[in-house]
Parts: sequence; C-alpha cells; structure tokens
Amino acid sequence: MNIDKGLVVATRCHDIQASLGRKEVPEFEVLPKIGMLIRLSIHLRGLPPVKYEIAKQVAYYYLDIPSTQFKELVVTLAEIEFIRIDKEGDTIISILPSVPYFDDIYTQVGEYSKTVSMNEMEKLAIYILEKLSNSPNDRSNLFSIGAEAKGIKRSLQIGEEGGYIIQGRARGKDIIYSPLFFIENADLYLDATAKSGSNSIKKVLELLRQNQGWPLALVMQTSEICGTKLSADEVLLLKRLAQDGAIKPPAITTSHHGENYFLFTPTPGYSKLHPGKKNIYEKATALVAAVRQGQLLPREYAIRNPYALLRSLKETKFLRATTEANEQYRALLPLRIGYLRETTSGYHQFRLHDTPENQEALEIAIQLVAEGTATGTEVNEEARIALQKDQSYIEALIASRKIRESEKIALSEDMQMQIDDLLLIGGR
Amino acid sequence: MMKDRGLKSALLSYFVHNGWYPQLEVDVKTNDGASKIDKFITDIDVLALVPSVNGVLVPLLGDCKTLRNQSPSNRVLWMRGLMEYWSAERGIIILDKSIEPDHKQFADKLGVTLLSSDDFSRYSKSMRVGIDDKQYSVSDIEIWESYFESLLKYPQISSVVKFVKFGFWNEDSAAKRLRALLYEVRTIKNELNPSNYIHLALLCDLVSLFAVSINGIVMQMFNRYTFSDNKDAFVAELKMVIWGGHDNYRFLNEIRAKYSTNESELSLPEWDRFIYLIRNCLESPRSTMYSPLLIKELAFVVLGRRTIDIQEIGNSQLYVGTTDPYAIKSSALYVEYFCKACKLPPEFLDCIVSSLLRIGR
Repeated sequence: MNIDKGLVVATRCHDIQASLGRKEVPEFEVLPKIGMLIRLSIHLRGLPPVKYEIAKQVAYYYLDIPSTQFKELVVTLAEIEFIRIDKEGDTIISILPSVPYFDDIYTQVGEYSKTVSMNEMEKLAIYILEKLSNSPNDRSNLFSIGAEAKGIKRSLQIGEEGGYIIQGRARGKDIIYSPLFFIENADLYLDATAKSGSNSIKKVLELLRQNQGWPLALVMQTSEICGTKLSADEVLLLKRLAQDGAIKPPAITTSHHGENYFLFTPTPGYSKLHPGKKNIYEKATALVAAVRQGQLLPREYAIRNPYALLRSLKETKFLRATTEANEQYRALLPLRIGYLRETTSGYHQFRLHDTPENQEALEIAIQLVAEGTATGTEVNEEARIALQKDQSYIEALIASRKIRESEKIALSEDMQMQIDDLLLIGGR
Repeated sequence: MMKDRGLKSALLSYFVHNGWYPQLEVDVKTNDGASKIDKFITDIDVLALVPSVNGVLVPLLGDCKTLRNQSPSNRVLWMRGLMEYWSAERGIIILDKSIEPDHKQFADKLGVTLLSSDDFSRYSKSMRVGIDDKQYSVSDIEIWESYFESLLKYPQISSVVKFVKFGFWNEDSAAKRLRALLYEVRTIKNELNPSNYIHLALLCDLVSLFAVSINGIVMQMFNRYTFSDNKDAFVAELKMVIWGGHDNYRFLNEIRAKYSTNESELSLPEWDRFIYLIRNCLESPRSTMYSPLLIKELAFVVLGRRTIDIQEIGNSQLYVGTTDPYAIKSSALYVEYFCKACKLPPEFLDCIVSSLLRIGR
C-alpha cells in the first residue's frame, strides 16, 4: 500500500471531501483539510480581492466548508502562497487570491500534503479510492492489500456512508465501485468486473483516456485502439457500452461511413464535474467526436492533427471550408455549438457560436484530445459569482438556493428503476 | 427423496408426453391471507398446463397418493374444491390401491379422473398423443429433485426460487404473473451468473413462466379481438390488459408521476420491445401454447447435462416447437425481451437464443 505521491493524495482528498460534504468522520484529521484547501483554491483562482466574511459564507453554503475551520484554511493557503491576507490587528478583512494559473492546484497542494502526516485510516481511504478510480473491484480483492481486515471494513463503511463508495452485486459477486468515477451505467461496469476482473476494465479505460473519442466501428473492425490489441471480452465491453447508451455525444452519420459511435471514458462524477457543467462536458465530447470522425473515418481528406484543429477553432472561431464539413459537423448544430455556412458549392465552413459556454466546451475538448482528462470542470460557477458580490447579494442567493433545494430532486437511474419495479407489483 | 415419487414420476411423464407444460409440487396459498408469511393451505403434486379450445393454457391438477386410511371419494372432494379454487376443469388422482367403480363414477361426475396405479399405466399409454418413446429431460423426476436441491445452495436468489415454485402459480391473472415475474427477476438480476449451469437453467425456467404469462395475455387480446392495427390504439389496449384496467393504470401512473421526474408514462421495462413481441405473437397466437414447454425442456436439458454448453441440443430432444417455426421465433423473442428487460448479462441471451435457433434448423 503505497500512497506517497502528493498528486494522488491531493486528488483523492478532494474527491473524498467533496463527497462527504458536511459529514464528519472521526477518524479523519488531515484529509478533510487538504480536500477543503483544494476546493477553496479552485474557486478562488483568478478572482479579485474577496471580503473575508463573504468568502466565509460562500464557502459554507456552496463549498461545504465549516465556518469554524475557515480561518485555519485561509492561514494555510497564505502559507503556501495561494492567497495574501489583508489584516487589521488580528481581524482578517479580505483575501487576495494568488492561486497560480499555470501550475496544477492538485500538485501544489499535494506538495503541501507531504509536509503533514496522515493516519492509517486516512491513508487507507485514499488508497482504496485510488484503486476504485480506475475500475470497480471485487470486494474480496481489497482484503489482500496488506492492511488489517478490520480497518478495510471500516474504511468501506465510511465510504458508503460518505457517498463515495457503493457496494453492488454482479454475477453473484460483491463488487465495490465509486460513483465519483462510474456514475452512469454502473451496472455495466460491475458486470464486466465480475466477468473479466478489474484489470481488463482498467486497461480499456486507460486506452480510451489516451484516445478519447475513438470510433466504435474501428474497434469492431480491428479489435484494437490506436495499435493496442484488445481481447474479445474487451471489445464486447466497449460494444455493450455503446449499445446501452453510455456514449453520450450524438452519433455522426455520414454517407461514406454510415452511423458511427465514439467512445469516451465514463463521464466524471460530482467531485470532478460540477452538475452545472454537465451540458458543457457533453458539448465537448460531441466536438471531439466530430473531429475524430474527420481524423479516422474521413471520406477522402483526413484531419491530420485534431489538437491543432480545435486550437485553431478556439482562436479563429471558424474552420476552413471543406467538402467533408457538412456531414462531419452537422450533429453539432442541435447542440448550438456552431453553424455551417456554404462558401462555394459543396464546401462548408463550420463557425463557432462564440459564447462563454462554447468556449469552455472547446477548451475541455482540447484537453480531452491532448491529455485525456479535463480540468476546471469541478468549479461551481455560482460560488465564484457569489464571491465577487456584496453581502445583500449573498443573502438573496442563499435564500433562493434554499427554495430550490426543496424542489423535486431528479431521481437517479437506479432510484427510478426501484420505483418502477415496485409499481410492477402494484394493484390488480 | 420425494414422497410418492413413483406415482409422481409416472404422472409427470404422462403430462410431458402429451405436450403439456408440467410443474412439480406446487404449494397453494391464498393471496388474500391475513398471515404476514407464506402459509400453505395444501399442495398440488403435479400440475399441467393444457391447451384449451380457445388457445389458453389451462391448469390440469394431478394428485398422487398412497393413502391407506382415506376413502378415494374424500380425496375426490378435496380435488374438486381445489379445482374450483384454481378454475381448473379437470383433475386426475392416482392412488396406489384398487378403487371401487362407484368411487370412479362419483369422481367422473365431478370432473376428476380417479385411477389406481395399475389403471394409470394402461390409461396413460392409450391416452398419449402418437407413439413417442423419447426421453424428455423435463419428465425425468431425478432431474427435478436435483434441481430443487441445487437451488437451495443459493440463498441470494431464494426469493425467485420461491416464486418459481409457488409464487407465480398463486397469482390469479396472466398480467399479474408477468409483472410479478419481471419484478422478482429484476430484484436479483445481479446474482445470476451465466457461467453457472444452475443459473442458466433457472433462467430458462423463468422464461418458460414468462411464456406462460404471454400466452394468457395474447389469447385474452386475441379472443376479444379488440386489438387495433393503429399503434397508439394497440398500445393503449395493451396497457389496459397489462395493468388490469384503466382505473388501476391511472392510479399507478399518478403515483409514479408524484415520485418520479421521468415524464414518460408508466410502462413495462423495454416497452417498445414488448409491444413488438406481443404484436408478433398475435400473428400466430396458438403458437404461444407451445413455447413454454419448449423453453422448459431446454432448462432441464441444461440440468441433465450439467453444463452451460447447450449448442448441440438438436431436433430430437424436443417434442413440440420443432414443427411450429412461430413457436421457436416467439421463444427467441421471449428470451431476448426477458434478458434485456431484466438487464441480465448478455451471455445468457446469446447462449439460449443460439440453441433455440439450432432446434429450428
């Protein structure tokens, strides 16, 4: 059990803390603090000076940071030079965010985490979640990681009560997974884990991460992703994911290659993708799908560098007219990402609707193509807006937020299924 | 070992060789009972589902006893009561002792065939349809015994096992049976493992029960002959049949709307596939009488061979279905719907459908 990498520690602390919210775990001492440091930093990055009292309230209402701990966090952020503190005597008046732009917050806080020591339960929680970030796992396998069974059981219990671990069943086996990473189509991943083991899923997802938006048709034809061979079971898993609707972006239909589906890693869960950004993320995957279509399944002229093409779209807001653009980008029109303009007969130019949302989607698409994952999608924009407003705005916003909380909550797929199942045996 | 095993085995074999769907040892309970746990009132030794003139599979109750101290006519009166309760037209009692003619006449007047075991061996030979000496797995009582015994090893699926053995049979309408069956299997869907032959057999058995329910639903629609070629009207009628009338449907739909954020109307899982399945069955409604036994036999072939490899079953194994291509097609559609609606691992579907299609070659 080795978790000395700062980045892993920081990332998983944030995941766990985001999931725990305001719940307290008696065994955790340092872990929640590191998670909160990241959460606060992410939301402060790039902001002008923020009044301390406002920051405290926003942190409480939007980021689940207890007011009693806020001051300690602010002091630590100042120590690692993520903020500057404006004080009058002992009273903090405001904070000036100086969270670095070009350095990853997780890495930076990860470095800080190396200076504090964690207890065994915290290390175990991080280790287990790191394992579950790659794939669901057979429950019995977790007991062979070299920690005491009692501790593992308690860690799983904390995870279940904290909402970041779920225990499910597939093919008669106990499988555990984290909804932070497998929020949609969890049943499919559970079934695949029970059938082929977690290593197989880990391999497939790692390949997809390196090649986001790879066309299913190519996988079926060649049984490989970008040169790496897949077993029959792995191909079957990808096929099932596509068939069962795990593939979110619209299928692209062209006259030369028919209907194509594009494969992505699972949509991130709450701690990595703020619910308000889900639509933006889906737009991003649709953009990647369209570009992959042009790169891997062109009619005649293939896109050579998808990354450069997306960067160019971001900068110039349009793509050079081609004879293939019409079919390739048509699926993006209903998502209001852009529109097509015919320049000369048969030649179409894709032009971006230049909105902040589309810019963000494009940035995520670029990150997905370049790095396989997107950053910044965990930010709650409401919280960032609130941090820049005055006290009366905060009060009004908090009131309206409470009203919204009492509205009907959208049921998860699983809960909806349970209600529908109960109605099966209802009445005559 | 089962009580009255020899007599039960003979009756089971007789039922199967006539092409009737068999079920062994069905406990009887009342669904309106006050007890919170299942309390059984009595049991049926061997139950058969027999095709009726209007295409619906109707129950035929079979009783086998080695009663020494009870008068045969008393047993007949018990059977008649049970027939009333189950809306069965015929019952058959085999006793391991000689029976006086007056008792037989009394039984006949009440719709019960009362036979001694010696009578039955001659009676069953004469009553068989055609000359058929094939050994069917589903008529092999040893396989039944090992099946029931094996199922006890899987406590996680005990709710479904109970449902197969008595829950299903005690539901009083085809639609209720169908909905309850889907509910039960969806509840334990994550426990079934396609590499376990007992689970594969159990699934075939469950699909055969699904086929029994479909027969009831399809024949209800067909005999009324109210279904429409217009899809909307067809779907509206199907919903009424499945949910037991408009009032019940509206009530459940309103409950669903209260708790659900899904704006679609209440329907069965994989609803479009189900509509297609029912419409397909209405093309040849009588074929729905044969599919249940075909799939049940498949379950028992798996149990008999103790393997999930059932690719090479061949034509000779099954009595019915081989002459009715619609029955094979319908059976494949049942399996497909059932596996998808219950979200079962895809290997189940591939395995069962490929062996069904081989039978049809």
